[in-house]
Amino acid sequence: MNSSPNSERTRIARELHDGLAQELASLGYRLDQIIGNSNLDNKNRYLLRELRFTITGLVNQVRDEIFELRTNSSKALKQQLDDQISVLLSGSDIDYEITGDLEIDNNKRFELIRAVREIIINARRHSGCSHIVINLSNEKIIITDNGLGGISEKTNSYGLTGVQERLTLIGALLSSESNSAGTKMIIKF
Amino acid sequence: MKLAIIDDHSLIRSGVSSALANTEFKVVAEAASVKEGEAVINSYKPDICLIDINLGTGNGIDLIRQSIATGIDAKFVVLTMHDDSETLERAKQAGAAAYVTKSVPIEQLIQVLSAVTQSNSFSKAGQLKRQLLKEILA
Repeated sequence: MNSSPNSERTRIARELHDGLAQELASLGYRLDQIIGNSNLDNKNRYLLRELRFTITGLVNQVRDEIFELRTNSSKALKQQLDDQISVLLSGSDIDYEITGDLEIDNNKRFELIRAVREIIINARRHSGCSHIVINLSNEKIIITDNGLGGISEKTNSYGLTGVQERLTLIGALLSSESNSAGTKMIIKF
Repeated sequence: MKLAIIDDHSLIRSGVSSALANTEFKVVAEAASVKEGEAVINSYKPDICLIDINLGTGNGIDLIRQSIATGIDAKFVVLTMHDDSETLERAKQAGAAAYVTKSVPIEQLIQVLSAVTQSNSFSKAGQLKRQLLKEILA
């Protein structure tokens, strides 16, 4: 019996692909059917389109997760981050740049990428920023946006609790500095 | 336009089928495997086949290749969760007329279906990784 982490990841990827991803996609098609109904008034059509947009985003997220689970982690972390962030920010008006570099062992790599993804998703959803810089070094990753700030009071509602918990598992710490010029999220490891 | 859906997920078959209900694309048959797909293509002679890539133990790309080799006169549109350039390239090589990811709204799928019925150029819809897209277009 093969129970290596890689085979486990392949199994999870397959389950996500055959289960959740397909169900979400079919939910999207059901919604498309309702949106196409000519009896629907404009206000409700608008609301349903918003919901459709969210479902499309969720399908893309699940698909990215599947891709990540299946991807051979031999790729440099910087390249892996660049691939994923380009997808997360496509369709938005947000530019990004990744500066510096780091070497990290594989046990920490997966959680760090997830954490950066969550932070980028949060910035896209809530900060109203137009630019994000991801700075990599061997001790920390700093993600700076030029958005509205205000993250410190709202950290929990921004859904970063899960990120903090997962980072704790690899001995890393998440902190933030936020003001009207934007937000800086620091992952120290 | 007669359309066949070949996908091993029944939820996707029924979802796409209902969403296309009031359009010019009529779903005339559904299939859940390569074997069923072959039978459906031969007996219903659809104008367009929407085909998933993972079909249980079989593969939709092989089905496209085989069908075209046996002279089937239909357009093959891949509808899949896969969003990597390698899979897209394989589908294209096999003779697919279009490549659509399952995240896109039905409107976009309809646009692609209309495009493939009107032209012979390859269409695609859905979010592919930017990096990989650059490689395809290069």
